[in-house]
Amino acid sequence: MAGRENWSARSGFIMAAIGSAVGLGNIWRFPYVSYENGGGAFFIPYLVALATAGFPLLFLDYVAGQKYHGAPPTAYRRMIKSQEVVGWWQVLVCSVIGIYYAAVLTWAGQYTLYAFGQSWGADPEAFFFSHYLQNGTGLDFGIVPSLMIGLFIVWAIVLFIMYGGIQKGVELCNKIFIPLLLVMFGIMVFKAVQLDGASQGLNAFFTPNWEKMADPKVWLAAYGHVFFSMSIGFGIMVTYASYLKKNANLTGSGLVVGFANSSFEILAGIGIFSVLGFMAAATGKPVSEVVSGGIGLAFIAFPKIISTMGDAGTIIGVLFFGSLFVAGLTSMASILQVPISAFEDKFGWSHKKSVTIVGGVSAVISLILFSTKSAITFVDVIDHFANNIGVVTGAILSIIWVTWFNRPVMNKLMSHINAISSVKVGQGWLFMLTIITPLSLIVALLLSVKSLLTEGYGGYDLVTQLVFGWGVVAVFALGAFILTKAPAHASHHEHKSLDKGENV
Amino acid sequence: MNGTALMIMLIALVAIWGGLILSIIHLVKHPDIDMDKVPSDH
Repeated sequence: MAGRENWSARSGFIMAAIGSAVGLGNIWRFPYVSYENGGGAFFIPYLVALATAGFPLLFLDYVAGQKYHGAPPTAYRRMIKSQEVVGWWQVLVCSVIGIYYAAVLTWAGQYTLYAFGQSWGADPEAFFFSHYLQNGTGLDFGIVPSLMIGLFIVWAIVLFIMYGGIQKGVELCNKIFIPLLLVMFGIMVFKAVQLDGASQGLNAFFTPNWEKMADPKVWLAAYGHVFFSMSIGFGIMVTYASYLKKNANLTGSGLVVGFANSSFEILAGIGIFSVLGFMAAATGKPVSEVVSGGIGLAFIAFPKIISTMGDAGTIIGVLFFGSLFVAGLTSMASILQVPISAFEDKFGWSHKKSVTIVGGVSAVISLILFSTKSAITFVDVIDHFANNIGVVTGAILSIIWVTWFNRPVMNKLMSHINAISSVKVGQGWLFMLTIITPLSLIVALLLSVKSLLTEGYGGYDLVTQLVFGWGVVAVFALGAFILTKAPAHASHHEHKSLDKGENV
Repeated sequence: MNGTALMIMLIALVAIWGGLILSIIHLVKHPDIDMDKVPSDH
């Protein structure tokens, strides 16, 4: 088994970690969540959540990966033997997210091309559902050729990046695409704030609704958002940190990554709400009637707005969808790196073998499911269950396995961070990870489960929810146990501690 | 923009973008420690 790669420089790791954290959610989720939860007042719970859950969990991910030198299953096993199963849960969650994320990435890529000619015409909603996705009624496995070709191209690009490994693949990709994203999105925001009605949108985004601060759901939304936005608690940051050298300044780098992610979100909020303000002014409606988030914002609302701008809309459309594609591509690389690295570590596979098998199987499943006329149903249901049950459960387990059930390990981790990092952690960090972070996640999980059990999700029929929702959760659980029990390469068990040859 | 919204926007920008600038300055001033200074049990 070849030696483990390292990032070529600290900047390479930071750039890749920012590329992972800054994704579709920063652009289409944060502005909407913020607006719905108190506007300007949302920044208070957001900053509190960042300080009490975001950074503490980010540092925990970093130290687990860097100290134990592996993707989640191997790193966790070397830290606490019984925790390997949690690592495999996270790996399977990432694998499933990668499989459907490729579909959304395909849509963003193809809409970048459509934006040049504003191909969606006068009715973007009908274009998206009927013409582009050819969305059928119920479950329809009929193939949509254009979706299949797009998906094939996206997977070819992603696997090409992954074959390059850490330095020549992931790091190089982020060094090219993160500056490109900043330039494209920066120009888009610059254009957006000059639109008529932009100030109306910014008023809606920043005007505080202080009464919302008394609503626990707002605080929960802040914790939920920070957690998803920073790519923490689901194995990505553990994996990326495992390629750091033994002297890496963990907390110093973590602060830059976390603040860079939040800075991009604020920029996204300003850009998106300026455009929504333009729409409100153009149609004579209040911003509250034109606001939306997620897929609805990107593929329906934005095309509608672009169409009302004439030629100027083409530039904003290309920049917006291009930014979505680039932000999604760097996140996709980080998501896929988790299972690729995990299989290398556990089974002693070469990097190329792992990319071929893990990436190949993922690509085939992705092409089979998301080239169909039910692609949006699969994306919607799998995304909801994978995030709200899969990611949150994995994060809770990864935290409490250490802070609640193996407390002495926390002292070792704290000592390790403080020996090599410029910003020291102490009892406050332990307190956050023992009480605040797990409790906020547990409450969020219980509310999600209660809602799914009593109301179901999205009005989909029971079979769809059972197979593509709860069925996916069952795959996480069953797969985690099977992979934990699978015979491993010898290197998986022992920890040659970061070039020192020390077994831990 | 109204005064309150403008004020909140400036505070948010100062807090978040200011945090980014300060953390970059901090990181530049604190390069990774030398390999031989990493404690042997780490």
